[in-house]
Amino acid sequence: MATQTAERTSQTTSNGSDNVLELQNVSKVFGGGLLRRKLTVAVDDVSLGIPHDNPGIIAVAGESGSGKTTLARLMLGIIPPTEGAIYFNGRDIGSLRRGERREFRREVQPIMQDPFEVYNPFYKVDHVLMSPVTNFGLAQNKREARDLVIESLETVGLRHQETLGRFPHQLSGGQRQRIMVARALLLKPRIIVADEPVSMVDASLRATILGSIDLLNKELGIAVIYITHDLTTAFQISDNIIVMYQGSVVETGRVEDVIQTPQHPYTQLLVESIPRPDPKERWGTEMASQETGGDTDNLGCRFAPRCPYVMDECTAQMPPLYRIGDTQAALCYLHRDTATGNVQSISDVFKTSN
Amino acid sequence: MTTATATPETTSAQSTPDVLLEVENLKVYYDTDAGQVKAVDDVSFSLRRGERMGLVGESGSGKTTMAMALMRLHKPPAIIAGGNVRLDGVSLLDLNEEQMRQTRLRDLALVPQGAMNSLNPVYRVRDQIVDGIKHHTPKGEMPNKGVVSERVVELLNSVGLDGSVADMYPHELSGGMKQRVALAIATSLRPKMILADEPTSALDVVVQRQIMLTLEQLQQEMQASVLLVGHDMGLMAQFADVLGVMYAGHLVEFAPIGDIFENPKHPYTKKLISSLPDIQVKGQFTGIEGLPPTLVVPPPGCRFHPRCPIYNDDEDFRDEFTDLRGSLDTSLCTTVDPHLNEIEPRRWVACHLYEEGN
Repeated sequence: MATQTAERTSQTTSNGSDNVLELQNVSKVFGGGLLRRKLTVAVDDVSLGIPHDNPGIIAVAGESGSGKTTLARLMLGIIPPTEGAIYFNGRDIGSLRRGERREFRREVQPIMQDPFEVYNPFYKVDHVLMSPVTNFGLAQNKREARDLVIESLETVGLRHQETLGRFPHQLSGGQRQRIMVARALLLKPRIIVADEPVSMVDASLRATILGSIDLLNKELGIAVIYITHDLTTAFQISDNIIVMYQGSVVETGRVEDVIQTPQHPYTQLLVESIPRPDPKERWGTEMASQETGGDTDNLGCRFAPRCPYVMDECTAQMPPLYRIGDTQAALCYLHRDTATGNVQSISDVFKTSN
Repeated sequence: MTTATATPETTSAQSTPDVLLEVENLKVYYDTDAGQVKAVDDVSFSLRRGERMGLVGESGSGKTTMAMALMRLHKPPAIIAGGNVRLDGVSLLDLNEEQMRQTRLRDLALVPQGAMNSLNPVYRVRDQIVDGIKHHTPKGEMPNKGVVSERVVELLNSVGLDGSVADMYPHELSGGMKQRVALAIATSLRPKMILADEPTSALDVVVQRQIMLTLEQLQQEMQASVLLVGHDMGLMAQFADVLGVMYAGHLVEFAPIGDIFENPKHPYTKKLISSLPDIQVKGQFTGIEGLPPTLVVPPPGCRFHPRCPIYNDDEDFRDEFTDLRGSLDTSLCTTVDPHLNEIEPRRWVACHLYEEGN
């Protein structure tokens, strides 16, 4: 469980860092009530900063149950952390005043998995685009509002003639998802948290949507948190990556390093299992270790029960995040002797873009 | 084409290599209020015994409709409007309902899409496996309880599960384990052919690889053929021996998997292959521009022409097919629906670039 660092205790609600969003030793535990006795540690002791300048795209990768969606919900302020704190422009988001909370809501925008579910089928798509304009007073009059909407649609490669005035079911999945990107764009947020934005669309549309998300980052300097189970798109689009397994960040760093030379046995297993689009490079036939049910009795590394390199200490105590080189860190005792120290905040090993 | 004979031992005279499945001019149409939708239009291919075929296409391309029609499990308003399907010489479309039921699972088994949800939540795994065996075994041929019981454990072991799983309910199993149970059911009567429709789409990559390797093991041990339907080209590259590519109800290319990846013939396949993201090179965001056409009113001529880089003389595509495009009469693309032709042994393509006389 989260060990509180000395640095944390000296913090008040404000911290003087250059981060838009900062997570300090954040943990989220579910259950433990009268009905669900068993505790599930969905997110375990995550520290991470998203800087104002050159924020880049950060992928959060993991299988279902890894805690990646919980991490996204924490960042969006939808659920409070059980331990630790999240700061927005230096202020704890748990104790924001009304105006600040509004600003936070505007600056940190979600893009959700299934674009169909967020639409009300009885409203035309205009509604989903106009409501943020009205709610946040982005335009002086109707004409200006419409111009804003059209501009944001064009940024994501949609023609307003083909989208405005239509009902959600009249649009394709790719169009609906791009409208969500356009909506996020209207608010000119600092951060976009995109939870599996392309898992429901075809391969040919996937490229277009990822392209528009990339554009938001490169052209408009919006930080993007890209939550996914797909390491290939994570590699393609992001600068840095966080790999999660049962609530723990097992490996993190520059995406090229983590994917091409993975250092944690779990990341290695994941990368080996990617079906490569090359028939000459067929995957190994040795059976990877079987999945196990989530067991939280283990005090140490959560991957230990499946790990081919498991040692005695692995099950006794959680390893720290060992720094490997400048831009990579792994939560694994295999690196104890060769590591160049421990990493406190995940973003310490992030490559700063440009 | 020869007429089908009803005895399993004889294969049609056409099929010199050991052909197991022959699909000929298959047409599956939907009658809707908006008009007739030709979801599968004139599709032909053949699959050899022990061969693994992949079938890819965008959603709405007709791949699932075709797979279901092969089993005659297509649902109204879909109807088989024409064509032939022969499995080991038996013409499936000529069988009556009862004969077809006996064929399913025994000769032709299905691992359904989202197989994890295909299990009945209120029955133990054992009962669901036995149920399948009972339902598809002719009366009087059903072995006694002890033999069946042994077979259940044997089947579970063959898919990498412990025999004790037989007494469990589906909710006690993980997604990967449920998928393994679905594989055990599909292979319970040692079918000649297994149809798998996106069998791993809801699973993560680690489990996906385990399931696909298990399927491959079973298939090789039984010498069965597999038709794997999906849209993940990576998965196809890892699993398939031959690949069929569907676009808007047509099979546009069919070839050995290595040839498709190395030297795709159809511009659609070419685009599909060149837009595949990998973990070697960064910054590949090229999709295929445009949307798949509506099948109620498909584009005239070649259904791909509105998106075709050759027809539209796409700048990034100028260096492709240079030797063929000079003689291409592009007016054909908008007027004549190209035929699926065998241009080299086992290389089928439906594109005017390769039409006779071009």
